[in-house]
This record gives sequence, structure tokens and C-alpha cells, in this order.
Amino acid sequence: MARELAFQTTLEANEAQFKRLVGGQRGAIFRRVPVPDPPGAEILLVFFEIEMDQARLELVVIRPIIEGEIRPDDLPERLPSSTVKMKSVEHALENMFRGKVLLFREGTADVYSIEIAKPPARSITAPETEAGVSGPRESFTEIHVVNLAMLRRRYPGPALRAEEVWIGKEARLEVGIIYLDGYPTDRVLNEVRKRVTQIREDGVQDVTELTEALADRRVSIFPTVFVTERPDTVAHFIKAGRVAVMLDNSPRALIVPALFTDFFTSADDFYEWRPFVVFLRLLRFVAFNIAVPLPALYVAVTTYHLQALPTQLTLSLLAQREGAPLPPPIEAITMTIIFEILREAGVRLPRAIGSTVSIVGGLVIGDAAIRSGLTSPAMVLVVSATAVATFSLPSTTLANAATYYRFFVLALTSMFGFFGLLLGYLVALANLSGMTSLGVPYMTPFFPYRSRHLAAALGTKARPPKHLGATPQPELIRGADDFQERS
Amino acid sequence: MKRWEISAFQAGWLTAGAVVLTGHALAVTHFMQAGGRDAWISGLINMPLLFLAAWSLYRLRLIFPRDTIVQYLPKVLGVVGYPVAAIYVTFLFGAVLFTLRMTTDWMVDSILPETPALVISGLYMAAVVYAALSGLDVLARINQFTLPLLALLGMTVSVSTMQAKDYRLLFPLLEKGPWPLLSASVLALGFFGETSIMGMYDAYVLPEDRKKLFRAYIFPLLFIVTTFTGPLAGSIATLGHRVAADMPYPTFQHWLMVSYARFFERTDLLAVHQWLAGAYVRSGIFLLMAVHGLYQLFSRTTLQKRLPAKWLIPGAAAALVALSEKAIPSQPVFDTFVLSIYLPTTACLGILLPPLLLAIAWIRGLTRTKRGAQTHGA
Repeated sequence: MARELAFQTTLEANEAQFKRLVGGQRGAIFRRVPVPDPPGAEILLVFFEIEMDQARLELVVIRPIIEGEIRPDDLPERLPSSTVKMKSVEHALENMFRGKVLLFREGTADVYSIEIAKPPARSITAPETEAGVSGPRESFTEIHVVNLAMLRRRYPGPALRAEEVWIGKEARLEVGIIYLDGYPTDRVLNEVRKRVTQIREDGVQDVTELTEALADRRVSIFPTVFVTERPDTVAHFIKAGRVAVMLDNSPRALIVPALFTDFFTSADDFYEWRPFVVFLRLLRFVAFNIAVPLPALYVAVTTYHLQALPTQLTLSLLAQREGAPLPPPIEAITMTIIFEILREAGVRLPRAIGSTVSIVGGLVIGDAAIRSGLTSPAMVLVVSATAVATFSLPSTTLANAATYYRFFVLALTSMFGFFGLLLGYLVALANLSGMTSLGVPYMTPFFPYRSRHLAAALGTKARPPKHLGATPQPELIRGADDFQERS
Repeated sequence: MKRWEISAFQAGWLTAGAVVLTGHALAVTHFMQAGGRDAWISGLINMPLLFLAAWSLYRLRLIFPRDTIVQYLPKVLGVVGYPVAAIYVTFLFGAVLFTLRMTTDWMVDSILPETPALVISGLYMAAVVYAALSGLDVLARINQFTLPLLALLGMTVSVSTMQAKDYRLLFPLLEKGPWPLLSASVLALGFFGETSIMGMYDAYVLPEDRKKLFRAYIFPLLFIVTTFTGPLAGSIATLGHRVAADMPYPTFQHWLMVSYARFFERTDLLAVHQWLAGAYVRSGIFLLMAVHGLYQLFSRTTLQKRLPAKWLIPGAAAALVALSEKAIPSQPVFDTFVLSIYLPTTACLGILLPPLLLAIAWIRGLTRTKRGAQTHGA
């Protein structure tokens, strides 16, 4: 409908047209402002009352016009610098819905939008999901320009590029593609641009909804897009040749390409003593390899391969299981599900209650289950160790992937013992080996093996260089990417 | 088939990973029975022939940089090349069948005695199909993870059983004349002949200098000769050649001897890992190359369009599972298949065929090569 519309040259016609288009909307204001010269002339302002900084509108637009400080002929030179001439009615409507003021003059079809919006916004707060001990303590907000300002403060160099892309068909939203000039390869950058511009969905609420568009596979258990709420983490990743994607209204950023090793990175890694970071990274790899197969390994040993354990331990385990109503596979699956329910309850409830529910629930239910003979202490120990290992993973998406694989491997092991466990592990290996993030092999630098990137993956290069931005450090991605392009 | 490319390094490792299990586990008993005490040197005396075969494959790669062995067989041999290529593709399927049957039997014998073999082989092949469908590059990456781990575990068990070994049992050599050694060597040639699978994917190796490319052919030989000689010598040194020859899985016995203090009384579960990880890569690459060879063999009839890989690979896997269960009803029949058909065919195709092809190519004047090998995708 709006496509066939055009700006009119009279205020009455423009007002009628816009009243037809937005007149029914709550808070839509059509305000005529008298102009002293020529007498009787007027300027029409159209805006949404609730999104407007009324005092500033009064101060920088309405009063100067009424008092003759700004003459209609002076427009838009005397208006704030954010004033933009509208290209079409659709463009004007989009700006109006974005909280800008539309300014119409008599006798001309030139229409301007003035940025005097004051959208509801919260202040900058400390990160919640990526809390760290050291490093900066600020997280993104829902306002893209504020987020961009935070990034520019973290990387105050000319290499930082922030491209603007609009997604959606009707309710368009701004997406920022942020990178350091010359760091990501052209192929990666063009691929990000292409994938983002292809998004046609209206009303995207959070940037995480864009992960599907940015991922190489629509369905994947392991994450291939890194999500962060910390500006400093984004700054570190773009220095490593990655591209950040941000959305207006979303307090998070997506990082692509994201490799398997990236999900073992915590915010503190960038600021801690390097050897300790390497140790922590290795510890997290170990934790991942406990979080996935431990219940399955327990089931395999207690159900199929008791001979692998020392006789004393075997007898002890059998004594513990005396009278247990469920066979170990069912017991393990049940206990793992209960643990996941407790974890979910802890996440959904308010923080103060959530942690109480998790701890008390875990302790009370575990203890009661052992006392009532429903499960064995060894099983509770295994599930608890699995839980702790899962919690030590810095990325929740990776922890979720570990959970999915835990059930997959557990199911296979319950049926086929160690054979099933190994087969599950080999399938996971095949899955991981075949995955890519924006075309970069996901398991780089392990396989394909890249010795010079291995140190970076293990955290030895986690700290920023002394001269921020002085030396491009995109080797990890460039190397992997070069390989991918050749292959 | 999707576009594939791997590095020379990956290709060398992949060949080693694809073949190592045969000499390590699958066919050890046959070598022991044929060679007795002398079995352990059967690999070493084959070295000159192995190098000749590997060098021939390398030279053929330089002559036909864009072709697999199935593609250049007709170019060198003319019309005769087609049936030879068909036999080669059959050998590739045969290798999968051999691995599948051995793996299933071993799983049933060692850890899952009550699970039906069909269930084990079906599940195993389903996992193999998943890997094969992922492509050559993915298999190369899986192998880059599993092969070092296999080597590490192998060295662990070798060191852990050092106390039980009496290396005097390896001597005297040729106690019963040269025939046992020669017969073990012929069998070993069959095993080493499997390395010719490199001819199926060397066309997809990234363009690299000749030195690196040549190393990709030589590395697997050194690796598998070492991993063949070591376990055989170890088995003889630990068990004696008579006992070792009577055991179905002599290398597995080493794992039964290893225990770590009071924590793990038996570490044979790690042997399951070794076997399964080795068999997985091996089955995946042989299955993928067999199907790939089939497509190249029937390229004129556009088989690939009518039967895409996503159907042919699972279909072939299902057929192999059925064959493994029905066509080979007993262990003696399987042994006959291995000794009379599989290993001799492999020896001919893998060790004798490449030098022969190179010689004919020379005679026919096809040997003019350009420096800097080219590559292409499938």
C-alpha cells in the first residue's frame, strides 16, 4: 500500500496522508508549529510521543522555529546534525517508528527526520552470564550505538570497522558487522555480509536468533557461533581475525567463525597469567571429556565389563547395588534426567532461590535416593562429578552439546557396553571433523593439524598484544581459512 | 561426490591408518601360522618390493595427476584395464568385508558374547556409513586424531609387557628352512598391498612439491612395517611362536597382561578402543573409495545420477553386512576367503600391479610428466 505513496507539497495533504497511515496508533502526534515569517505559515512535526525526548524537542526544534531563530528556508542546516532527508514515504515511516521526528514544510515535498529519540534503555551493567574475576566489568546493552561506543573505546583505532546492514522486510532492524580492517579474509567477510543480508524475518528479538543464518549447518549439536555479552571479549576476538555481528535491541554479540577450541575460552583467559591459562584450558578439555562419557563409562563397567575393575572395588560396587530396583543403565539415565531437571529449575528460578533449589535439591534428593535404596552412592557420585564437569565449561552452548552427547552415548552404552561407548565417540569425532564455521574446519588446529595455531588454541596467545591493534594477529583464522580455500 | 582435497601429510597418514590394523590385529594369526618363529621378519624382507610398489604409485601419480588408479588403468592397459579396474574395486569392497567380519567376530569373542553378530555388524556399519558419507577430507581428519592415539596405546602396551618378553625366543631364524618365511612373506605382501588404496585418493592430494608427495608414499610403508614387525616380534617374545600361532588374537593377549596397580586389573578395554578406532577409519575409507571407484568404472552410464552416494554407500554397507553374515557362515570359510582370495588378490593388485603399470606406461611412452603435480576435485 505504502509503496505507491509519495510526499505531497502541502502540509494538509501530507498530514492527511500520514494520519491515514499512522493516525490510529497510540501516541502518534501531529503538531503544527507556527513560523513567525511569513506570518501564518506553519511547519508540521510528526512523531511518537512516548519515544521522544520532549524537553530536547522543545529546546532544539520547536522553540527556535517559533522564535524565528530557525527559518523554514534555513532547514535543515540549522537543525541537529543527525537530520536526514527522507527518500520516500516508507523511509519516513521507518524513521518515525524508530522514534525520530518527521518535519514537513509548506510548498515542498522535502521531508526530514530528526534524531531526538529517547528510547527506553537500561544502563550499562556488569556481565551476568560471563562474570569474571579480572578484566573489565561491563556488558552490552540493548542499544546498538551504545554497544558500538563501548567497542570503539576498547579498540580506539581506525582499523575498527562497523558496517550497517538492515534485516527484515517491514519491521527492519539494524545489524552491525564489526571487524578489524584487513584481519578477516575477504571470503569470510563476504560470506557474513551475504548471510546477514539474506535474513528476511521481521521482528527479530535477539541476535542469537541469527545464529541459524550464520551457521554452516541448520541443525548441529555443537555450536558454531560464539555468543558473548562482553565488549572486551568481542575486541579480543576481532583481533584474532573474527567478525562480530550485533543487533540493535540485543545485548549480545555473535562471533564467527567460531572453532571448537573457542568454546573453552572464558572471559578471564585474556587477563590471567598465560601458563595458568594453558592449564585451565587443558582442565576444561578434560572436564568436557568427563562430562560426556562418565555416566556411560560407569554403565559400561558395571553392566558389561566388571572384570576391568579390581576385585575389591567390584565387590564394593555390587554391595552398594544390592537391592537397587533399577538396572544401572536405567538408573544412570534416570539420575541424569533428574540432574538436568534440577539444573533447569536452578536456571529458571530467581537467582537467590535458584541456587538454593539446586544445592538443596541435589543434596536432599541424592541423600534420600541413597537412603531409600533407589540408587547407589557410586551412581550419585558419577552423576555429581558429571555435573561439576559440565559446570566447569565456560560456554553454556558447549555444555548443552555435552548434555545431548551424554544421552546419546549413554543410550548406546546401555545397549552395547564399551563397544557402544566407543562407537558413540567415533561418531562424535566424525561429526566434529565434518563441521565447519563459515567454511573453516571446526576442529582446527587439531585436525586439520596446524602446529603454529595450536599454542593459540591452548591459550598461550590469549592475552592482547602490548600495543593494541599494532600487529594484526589473524593467523588462526587466516591459516585455517587459507587451508579451506585451497581445499 | 563432493569436492575433496587433502594434504600430502594427511594422505600419508590416512594410508597408514587405513592399513595398519591388518598387520596389527586382523591377520596376525595367519602370518604366525605360516611363518612360525620367522614370521616377524617377513615384513622386513619385503621392504624392497614395497618400496618399488610405492615408488611406482608415486610415478603413476605424476603421470596421471588427475586420475585415480581405476581411471588410469584403462589408459595404460587399454580394454584389459576395465576388468582389472573392476577387480580392484571388488578388492576395495573385499577389504571392508574382511574388516567387518573380523571386527564383529572379535567383539563377540571378547566383550559382547551374547549380542547377536548381526546387531554388532549393523551398528558398526551404520557408524562407518556416517563417516564415509562425510567425505575424504573428514576421514583424513578423523584419522589424524585416532592414529596417533593408536600408536601411543600400542607403545604403552609394548612397554608395559616388557618384563614378560624374552627376545631370545625370536631366534634362531630359518630354523625350518626358508619356506615358512617365504610363505609368511607372500601373505605379508598381501597385507602390504593394501597400501595401494593410496592410488584411489592421491589424485585429490593438494599440489605440493614432489618431495612432500613422495614422503606421503614412503611414510605409510615405514609405519606399517614397524607396526607389523613390532607386534609379531612382541607376540613371539611373550608367548612363544607355537602358542601365539594357536591364539586367534595374539596381540590382544598383550593387553590381558597389563594391569595398573589396584585401579585397573584388566586393560583389554583399551584394546577394544584400538581395534575399533583402527577398523572405523579403515572401513570408512575403503567403503568410500570402493563406491567412488564404482562410479568411475560406470561413469559412462551415469550411475552416480541414478544412484547417488547417499543411497549407494548405505546400500553397499547393508549388502556387506548381509554378506558377512550369510556368505561366510563359519570361521574356516572366512579363513579360506582371507588366505586364498583376499591376500593373494591384494598382493597382485597392490604390489605387482603398480610396477607393471609403470613399465607398460613407459613402453607406451606415457611417462612424460610435468613438474608440479596438479590436482582436481571429484
